[in-house]
Amino acid sequence: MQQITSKDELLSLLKQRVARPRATERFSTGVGALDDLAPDGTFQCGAIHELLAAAVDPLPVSFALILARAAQQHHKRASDALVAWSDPAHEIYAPALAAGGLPLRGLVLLRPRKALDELRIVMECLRCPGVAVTVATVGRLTRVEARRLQLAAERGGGVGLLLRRFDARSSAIYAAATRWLVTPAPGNEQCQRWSVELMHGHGGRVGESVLLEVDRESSQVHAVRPFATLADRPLKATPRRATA
Amino acid sequence: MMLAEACAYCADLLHLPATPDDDARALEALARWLVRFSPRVSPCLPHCIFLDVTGMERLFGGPAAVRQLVADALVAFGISAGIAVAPTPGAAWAIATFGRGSPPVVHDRDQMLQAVASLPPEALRLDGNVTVMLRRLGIDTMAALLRLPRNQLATRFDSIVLRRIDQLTGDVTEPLVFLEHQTPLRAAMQFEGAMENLETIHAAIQHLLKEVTAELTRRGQGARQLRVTLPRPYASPIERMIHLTRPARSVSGLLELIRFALEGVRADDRGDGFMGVRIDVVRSEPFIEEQSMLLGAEEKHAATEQAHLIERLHARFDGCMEWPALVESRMPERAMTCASVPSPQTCPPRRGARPTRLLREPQSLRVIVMPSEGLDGLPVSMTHANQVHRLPRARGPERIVGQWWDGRWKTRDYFDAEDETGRRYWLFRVVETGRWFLHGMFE
Repeated sequence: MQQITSKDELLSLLKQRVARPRATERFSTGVGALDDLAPDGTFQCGAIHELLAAAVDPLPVSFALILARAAQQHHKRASDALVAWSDPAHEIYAPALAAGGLPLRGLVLLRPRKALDELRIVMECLRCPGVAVTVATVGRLTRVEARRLQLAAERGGGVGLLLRRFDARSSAIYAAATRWLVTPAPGNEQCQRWSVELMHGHGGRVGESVLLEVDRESSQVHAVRPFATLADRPLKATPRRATA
Repeated sequence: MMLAEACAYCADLLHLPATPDDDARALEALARWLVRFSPRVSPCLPHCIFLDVTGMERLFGGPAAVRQLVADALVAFGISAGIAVAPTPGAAWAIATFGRGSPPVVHDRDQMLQAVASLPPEALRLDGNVTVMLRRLGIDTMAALLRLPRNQLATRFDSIVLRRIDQLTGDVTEPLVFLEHQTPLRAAMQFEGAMENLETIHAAIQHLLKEVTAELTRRGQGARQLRVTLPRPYASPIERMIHLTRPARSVSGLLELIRFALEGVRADDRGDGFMGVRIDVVRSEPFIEEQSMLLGAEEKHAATEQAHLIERLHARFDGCMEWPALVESRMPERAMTCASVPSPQTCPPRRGARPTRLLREPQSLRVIVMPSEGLDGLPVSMTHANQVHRLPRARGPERIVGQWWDGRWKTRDYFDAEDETGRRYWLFRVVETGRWFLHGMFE
């Protein structure tokens, strides 16, 4: 906190604060090709990001872990910020989250006794400014619920990561800044791979995908553009669309 | 042995009927009398009283002087007791109960370790069967027990042994329940007849909260734990506990939490209603008035918001938040515990790949194994949920030896296998029976 020595300084600082609109915070994962897909190269805080999986694929918990770790480190009070992870089935394994780089000190598992309570608890956590990331699995949402989740995230300023199934019935209604479709891909001895495609995101490279590689031992993350998409591009990189 | 047998051995044996309730009351009375030596007194049944004499040196002239005063007082009462002063309650208990030859006043950690070195393992306040096991293993003194490596103690015995050792050396603070001194804070209202309408009851609660918060303000305290009781005419009363992370005394905040807690409460089906309302402040703490700063208020705001979130979720959805902690255990299902309060992370994260999703019960599989000379055949294909998955890549085995002394666990060989589509599974084979199970998925 800076030293204020005179009333004039205080007044000018307050005027600055009022004049400047509250800029939305953004965070980046640090994984080059993944950030390139996102709008503006960063992920928006104070918003929902949906991580989808096809009906036969498992829900992308590891991808959520990568985003949650990046968001938690970015949060203003990284040492105290909470990460709320919804786990009604009691199946999340904390040692794996710790190995993935998420500090367990701020991790709280939400285990509602009744399934109906889960959405309300998630909304409460999103609304709280002290919670950096909220991760939850949701099914079908009504328009009202989706809008409420978005408003709660905006008010709290944290990041909401919703894991959903990608089919017309369950995930037609959404209120997310970006939506990603994650499919497992064959890996090798060193790493496990997923193909991550941006389905929706204003100003991002919609429709393009990257291959995400996570090292098995060290949990280091790399992203690689698959060769097939590169072949169709012209040599000069296309300029990005300007965002509002 | 039975009383008749004892009388047979010793003809003029004096015996009296046991009165545990009277003993407990007498112990509490003695503890209240001992408040003159320390404001923090904790009676522990059946026959132990802890006094926290930290900071009493200037008043009494040192721990040895306090000990002498207490000893003289007890002699005057005609009570024979072992008295010891030590840096931790565990060490004080050990020296007082078992330390005939040790000095009764210990000033610092090295002296304490020296004093407890020759005491038997019973001095750790462990169960009988644990001490029998220790003696059978040849550990007769505390010094031998403290020399054993910690991870072996963790696997061999329950966590209680490590916890008692940490409490003795002072690495972990031992929570003691101290006697309360002040008159309890409560407010109650009785209705003329039975009241069913919850809105009216909320209005009554608001009125009572005004009284309670006025008294809290007068004492300079805030409430940490509240109990709301709604008595019913023909049934047991409904009770709800409200826990707060920080002392609070605002009527609107407490009313909101009580509203959440009473959300699911309805009057009886017979229409009997509630006869009144009672609010008890079970625990209160000094309330610190904080002056909010004009700038730099966002950080404090986030911390108080976190506290409010935890309170709201506890009041509205009981038991929905759990704080995981790593535990030193080789068995994967035991490597993580969940508690209802955040606990310090004392265990370092272990190396080795672990699945993000661990099934609660391992599921049985049929697996085809690559033939090889040894018994470490890598799995080649597995059948799960009526679907065959070929596993072109498998790593392992990671052998996790069962705890045979528990009699329940067998040795497992864990394999990290990936199928053709890229999904990664964590399988294990029980070495003794050769059966395969699926324990988790790397999602």
